[in-house]
Amino acid sequence: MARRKRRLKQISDGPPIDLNVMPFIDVFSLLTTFLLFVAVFTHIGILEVQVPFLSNQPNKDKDQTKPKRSITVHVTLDKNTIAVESFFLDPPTNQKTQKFNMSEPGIAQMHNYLTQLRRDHPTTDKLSLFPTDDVDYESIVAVIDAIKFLKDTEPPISTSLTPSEDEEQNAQNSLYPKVIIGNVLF
Amino acid sequence: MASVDSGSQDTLSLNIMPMLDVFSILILFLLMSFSTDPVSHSETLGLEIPTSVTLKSLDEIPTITVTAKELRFNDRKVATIDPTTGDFTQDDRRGGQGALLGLYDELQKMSEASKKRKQLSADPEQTQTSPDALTLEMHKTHRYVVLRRILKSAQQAEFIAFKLMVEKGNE
Repeated sequence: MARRKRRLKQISDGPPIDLNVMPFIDVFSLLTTFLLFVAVFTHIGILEVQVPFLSNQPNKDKDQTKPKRSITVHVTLDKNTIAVESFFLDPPTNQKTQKFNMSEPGIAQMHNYLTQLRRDHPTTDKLSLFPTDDVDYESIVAVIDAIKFLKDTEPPISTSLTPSEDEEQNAQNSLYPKVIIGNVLF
Repeated sequence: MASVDSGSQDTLSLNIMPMLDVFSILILFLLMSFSTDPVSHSETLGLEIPTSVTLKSLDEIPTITVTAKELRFNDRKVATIDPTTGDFTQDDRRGGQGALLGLYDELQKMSEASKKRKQLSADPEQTQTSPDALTLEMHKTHRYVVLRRILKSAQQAEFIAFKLMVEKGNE
């Protein structure tokens, strides 16, 4: 303590010490220029989709824990309308079709309808999408968004999936995480 | 410290500490944004991608880029879009079932290379998996017919999973 006081006294008695911060500013300037140059200000994300395929591998869906009778959901898009069709493959098929406008409120209504459908049939996490040729890409992405994700305010859907699948599904409050674009054939 | 001699005996001192503070904060912010996203990729010039609420970040540079006028595979032009029809030119659509021949050829090469790489891999599980997912960057005003031809070409080359590149936005 006494040594420190002595040292401080020596500093205060001597000439004022000027810290040379110029090299520091030079490095900062260069670093800022470099970082501003390489910075990406728009955050880019991805939406995962699939197309149907034929495979000779064993079907993973034939899981003992999943019920044999499961609902199939198809969403058909044209320039003005969204049609949601749900049915069972085994009789009774209980086929239902609901139509919505291709607009922001229409997409929101479709989302609410699909949310209710998913809550009623939580084991089905897959949905097929059938856009027509004249639908623009931006609308398709908006519909996929409404199909894949729940809103922040909506409670997550409880499923009987395995823990790993459940973890994947709830990474972002998913509604139908697997979207298959069904009509790729011409 | 930087100083300016005013001619008299007084010395004018420039206080650069606030500038250093601002610089420090700016560098901290830029370094943070630099390290969060695994892949740093800017949108291609003249290409507008749609907005999405997805939280998944881009994990690889897009393989297929569809600008307003052309389709590029690994930054090489493989097909042209006719502005009058909004579809690929007749010459590009020579693949089976309306697929794009040029794109199919490129994807086929990529698929075979991927298969060979997996066969050489020691992991037996990896050899059985399907080819990797394709990342696609596409102009938002294109019609589905453009996307459909790309998906068809990729499907024929045994690619079934796709990552559509979008701009992350709020709900």
